[in-house]
Amino acid sequence: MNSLHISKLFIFILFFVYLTFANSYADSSKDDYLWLEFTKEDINYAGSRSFFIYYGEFPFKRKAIQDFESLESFYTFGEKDKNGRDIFYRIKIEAEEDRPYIKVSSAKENWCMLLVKYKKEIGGTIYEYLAKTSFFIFSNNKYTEQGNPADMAIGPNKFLDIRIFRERINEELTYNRIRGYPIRATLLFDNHPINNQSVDIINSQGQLQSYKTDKKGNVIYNLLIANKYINGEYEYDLILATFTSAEKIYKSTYTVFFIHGANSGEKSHYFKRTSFSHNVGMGISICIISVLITLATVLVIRKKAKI
Amino acid sequence: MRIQRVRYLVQIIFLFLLLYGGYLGLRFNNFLPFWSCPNSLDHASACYLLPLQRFQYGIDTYLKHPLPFPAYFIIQGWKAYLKFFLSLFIFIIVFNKVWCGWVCPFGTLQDGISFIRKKLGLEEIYFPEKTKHILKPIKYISLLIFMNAPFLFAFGFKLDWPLFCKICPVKSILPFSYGNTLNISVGFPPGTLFSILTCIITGFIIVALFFRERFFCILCPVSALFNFFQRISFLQLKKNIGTCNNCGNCWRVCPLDIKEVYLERKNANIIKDDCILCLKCIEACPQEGALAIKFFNKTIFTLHKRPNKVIKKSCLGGEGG
Repeated sequence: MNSLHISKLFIFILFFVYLTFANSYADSSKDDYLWLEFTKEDINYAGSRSFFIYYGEFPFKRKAIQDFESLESFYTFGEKDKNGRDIFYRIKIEAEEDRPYIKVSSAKENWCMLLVKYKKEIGGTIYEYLAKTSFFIFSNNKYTEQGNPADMAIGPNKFLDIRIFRERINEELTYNRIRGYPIRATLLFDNHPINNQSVDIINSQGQLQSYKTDKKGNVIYNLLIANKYINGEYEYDLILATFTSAEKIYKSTYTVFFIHGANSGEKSHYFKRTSFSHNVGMGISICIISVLITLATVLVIRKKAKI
Repeated sequence: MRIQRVRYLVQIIFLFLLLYGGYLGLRFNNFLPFWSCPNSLDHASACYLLPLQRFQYGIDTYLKHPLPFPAYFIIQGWKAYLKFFLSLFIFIIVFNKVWCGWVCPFGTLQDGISFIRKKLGLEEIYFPEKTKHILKPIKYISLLIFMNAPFLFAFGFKLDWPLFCKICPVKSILPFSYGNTLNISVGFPPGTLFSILTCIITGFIIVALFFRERFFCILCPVSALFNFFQRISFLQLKKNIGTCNNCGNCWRVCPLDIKEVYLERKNANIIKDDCILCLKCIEACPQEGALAIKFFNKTIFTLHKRPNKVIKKSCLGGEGG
């Protein structure tokens, strides 16, 4: 092998290595999403709720968001304007230990939906990230501030929206209601349902379930959450979806917490654990009363028959 | 009483198989003739009434969303229902009501309760003829109502669940066998009314089973389903009218108190609506060959050379010996 061959081989190896890294770099954002989590201090906080904004691969690979300025955040209390559209307010994103976070305050009890937008260009492709969640702000009689300034804004348009609703799942055979937290997630792009789109649901321990939307953009499943808290932090599921249009790639998430509010238009719609809706003691008591009444009737009949 | 011992053994085997078969990985297809309450956690199969009620939803859906008939069959999966009716028909044709007396887990439970009552020395209650006539059509009415209740869905009533299963006492009693108390609880809205009704019916049935052998079989809609085809079954209970000496033993030992077996003087085929083919009548018959079980007219069970013995028993109500 002469030196020309060796150098050609060397160039080829370099090119191959470059391609591999280029691919890795391009694909490194494939599994990245933007999502929201309650801050630890939020657990016992009334009058406001605060969230960290995270970016990266949920739940364990988190990356730093370098450009805070490109983050935009909106919230709504479910109020509608005269055209029937949600009224949004802009909210300032702050930083705590280099982590962006948001604090939504309210002087009175209120249901709230929070959205965070983030745009990024990677390799000539524009990625539009959206993190969404909804929650209830409990009142705090001591809280005197009037909440965040009403900085009305036009909410984000043309985004990949995930909406959740309470759902009833029945067992296929017996039609008995399945215990747990059944919910319906609807996937919309520009308010149009997306059919046959992959939706992933991951809990904070990394357990994954994958689904495909139906014609109405719906996916119905039972929340993976077992307990309200884990290690002192709120337990939640994350719903992730990606949609590719001609110009951009849209990646959205919805953080579903244990006690949760549903989508705009359905205020204070909490998910209740259906397994708490049965009273065994009462059932057995009614059964015993029925036994005693029947027994008394039978004994009377037997006495009459003997007579 | 050897055939009865065989029957008890078969009953116990099927009781464990159908109730706990799921733990062993057994999963008989829901549309094949193996019954167990699907509300039992690890049941091996499902009660036939369930696909029957589900079948009505299919018809109801078809009525609300008409499609060309062949397309509907393919799209809506009616093949499963065809399989269900075919398997039911074949089972009844071949085995008649052997299911009731030899396999049904709830029937086995009822026999167990009667055994306890006999050991306690308590007398059974027999119904007078008038009461029997009143009780007789109940199973057919319940089969008609529960089979067709889903049609109400077409008229706007929200009945997208199996109606009979909402009140069936088997649903609450059988899962009790492994500690599942969910079906004997009061559910909060929706479903409160039916759950309370289930608890009341369960309590009533428990007492009724204690004082009247195989009481639920008198009301069971699955039995009513069998009765439509039992006359054309290959397995039949036959009486040799000439040999019968009219002693009445067959009636006295019958757990369902079927008098017609004793009274029948014309037809050889004496299998009646409530009959569970337990074969107690054949064992109690003192006349050789007077009663026999025949398959395609070939005798498969009868008693030979039995000493002449008339069975007497005391009972309350009815016309006991």
